[in-house]
Amino acid sequence: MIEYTSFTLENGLKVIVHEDTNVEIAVLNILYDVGSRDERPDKTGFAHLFEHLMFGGSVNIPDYDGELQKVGGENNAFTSPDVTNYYVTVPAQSLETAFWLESDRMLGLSFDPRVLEVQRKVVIEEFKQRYLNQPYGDVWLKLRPLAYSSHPYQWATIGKEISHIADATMEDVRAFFYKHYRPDQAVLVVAGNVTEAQVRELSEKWFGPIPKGDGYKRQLSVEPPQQEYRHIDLYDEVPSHALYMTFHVPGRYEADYYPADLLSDIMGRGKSSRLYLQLVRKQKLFTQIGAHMNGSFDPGLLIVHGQLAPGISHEQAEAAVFEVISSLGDLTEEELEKVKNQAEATVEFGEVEVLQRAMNLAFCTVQGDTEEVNRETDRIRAVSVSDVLKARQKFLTRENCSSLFYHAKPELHEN
Amino acid sequence: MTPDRTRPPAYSQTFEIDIKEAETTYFGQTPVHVIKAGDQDVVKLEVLFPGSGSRLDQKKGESYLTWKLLAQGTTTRSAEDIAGLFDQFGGFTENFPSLDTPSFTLYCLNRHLDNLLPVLADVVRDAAFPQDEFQLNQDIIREQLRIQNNKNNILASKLFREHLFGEDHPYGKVMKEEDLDALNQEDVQKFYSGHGKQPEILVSGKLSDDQIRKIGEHFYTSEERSNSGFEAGTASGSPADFYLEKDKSLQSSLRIGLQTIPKNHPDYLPLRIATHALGGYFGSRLMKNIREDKGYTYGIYSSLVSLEKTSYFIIGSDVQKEFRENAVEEIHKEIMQLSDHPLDVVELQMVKNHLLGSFQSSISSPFALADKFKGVHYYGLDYSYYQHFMQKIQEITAEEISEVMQKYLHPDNMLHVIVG
Repeated sequence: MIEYTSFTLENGLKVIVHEDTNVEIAVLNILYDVGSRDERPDKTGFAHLFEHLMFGGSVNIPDYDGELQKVGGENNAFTSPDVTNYYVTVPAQSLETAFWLESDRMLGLSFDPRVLEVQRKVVIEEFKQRYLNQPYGDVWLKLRPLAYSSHPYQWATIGKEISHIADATMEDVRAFFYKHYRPDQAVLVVAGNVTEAQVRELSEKWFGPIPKGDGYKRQLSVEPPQQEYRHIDLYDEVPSHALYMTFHVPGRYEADYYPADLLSDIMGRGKSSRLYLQLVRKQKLFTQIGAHMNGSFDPGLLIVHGQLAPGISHEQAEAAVFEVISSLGDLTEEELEKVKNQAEATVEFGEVEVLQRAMNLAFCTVQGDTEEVNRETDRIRAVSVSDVLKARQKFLTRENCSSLFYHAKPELHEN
Repeated sequence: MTPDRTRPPAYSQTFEIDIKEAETTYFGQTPVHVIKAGDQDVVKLEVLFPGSGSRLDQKKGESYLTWKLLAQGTTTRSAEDIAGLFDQFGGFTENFPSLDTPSFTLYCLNRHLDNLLPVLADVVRDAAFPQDEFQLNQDIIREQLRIQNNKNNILASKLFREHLFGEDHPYGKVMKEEDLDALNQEDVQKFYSGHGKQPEILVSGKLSDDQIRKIGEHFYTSEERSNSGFEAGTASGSPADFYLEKDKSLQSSLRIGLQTIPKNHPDYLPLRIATHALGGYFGSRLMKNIREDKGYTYGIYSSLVSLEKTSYFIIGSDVQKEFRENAVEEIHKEIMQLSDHPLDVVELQMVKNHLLGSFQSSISSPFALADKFKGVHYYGLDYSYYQHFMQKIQEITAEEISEVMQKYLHPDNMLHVIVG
């Protein structure tokens, strides 16, 4: 149970306060309601590039990190297809520094061309490090456009290609900032050794004077239901064959999410899961295999991912996964209870760190209902065997599947 | 009300550092270290095997495989039964092989602990390594090893340690595919029999006295504990730089460093602080230059890796391949700069505050307290280490930082490993 209070400033900034006096820290988490799904198809990777620019100096503060480090604070940020989230941890006695820093960069950035030049290079290196220079690193660059024909989830957060990042202009940067980085497009969560009164006062003082934006309303293409099996092959010098299968499922906060989530756990969570027992242990077709949900806000994906055992073909491996899916009809209450226990433990462990609690609050709030943060366990508990079986019929079909066969080129096995 | 945004708000220069210490109770000869903390109904139970890591390997990989295979069978339960039982009660387990002190960890909800303790104790105290499980896991680990070694950054870190200490040194052993293939079921069974019988327990979370007693009962032993008296020693000779060229790589993984003083050495704390100034945080010298100024990399760090009986200093980064020589040159420059020119007042204060603040922030959960315990207990230190650390940070001068840099971190003495 996460206790919290909330209020909204006149400029539309939503503020959530979560007090926890067990820690000596304060967390300031600010979530902007913009992700790579809000990008134009010809300017992808921008939300993420922008996240880097947020550290390049603001109106009154040239060196964000330097100022934060002076008080012993730490920060980081991430960009997803759905949101961009920034978080600062400071010793509780220096909370106001975090307000000063975060409000100044919401007020305005330095828009310094040198910052854009350097961060462009850094992001291109990140692109190479994570997506091109790692075995299997390019999987999602290829699999997203296969699974999504219309919704902007068809490109990865890093962007479709390096050229989009290389071509970004300062004009793009400004426009993006004033469209998305406004108080009415953000959720502020302050958690830890703080009081509501203190947070109220500091929020009014530092964020209150920032003008609201034009009220950007998201209108994205809806992904049409997938009608037929899709497939691609990739060949590269990777250590072993790999199989990726995706199935369209509901979004993270939609009604049918939990049956699909528990279904993915039954399929492929841990060493007692169906896929592991059948395909790694009994049939020895894979050396590892698992299933999980990507948990995106708009309708997302259930993903099955495995490494093939030497000598096994992709066709054989994929057919075996479908076999496991068709045998799910014998699901018992006990097996469902197992994955519920696992899921419930995940929820509880996800609340151990105050920062994680702050993020959960921010995510639920931007989705429209902060209280959802305390309903997760009940929603998991409410799922029945027949709900899971219905989810299987609906989602785990061949027509709803996009699969990627990653082929290991033979050279590598010989050295 | 318009706030003055041009000046930082007043901030505190004092830090609240209060580490809740572990309390140790013996059940027979078995120490159970307990940290009662937190509001969530969760428990982390670590079963530790002090000094039983790969530093003891007679055959490379025997320790790794033993600790990796724990939970793959007991004399009365199959691997499948064990996995099923842990999962049924929502328990997660993790195997942590290590150079020094390996462990097997259970995370679970408080209310499931009673159900999980018997199977956990069985897994740890009565492990068996059935031939078919051995075979299966050997195959799985071989595949994982291939995947890992195909990643330049992972391979570079392994090669660095191997070349730094030498492959005959207890800390220089790196398991390769052929080492894995040479191991058999008896090796693992024998290693476990020799080193698996005297675990220590470290438990953190929201715990009742009754639960602690039950934990103690499950791990009770009357057998006297032996002490191996292990000493690491220094590597023989100075290691030669090593380059592994990979034509298709877009980036090169750099690892630069040397073996240095252990955690209980008087100069360790100043050296730790110097390392932080050089590459321990986002605003460090290395990050500012190599990432923020030159854009050669997405990230670069320097750190002291403390093993139980020695330490090594390491700088790591994945850099644009065409600029790797420039990057190495700039790294050398930054080391010399910090040795030759003491930090100015502003930067020194920033380094100090960042270290203190991040230390205060790191104590954010019961599990973090467990890590603080391990950070001293296995290094022949006690909690006063943290007090000394805080004190040293406050007292240290810029000159002292330059002195330890000169004394311990000269680029000419460093090993360079580059992959990619």
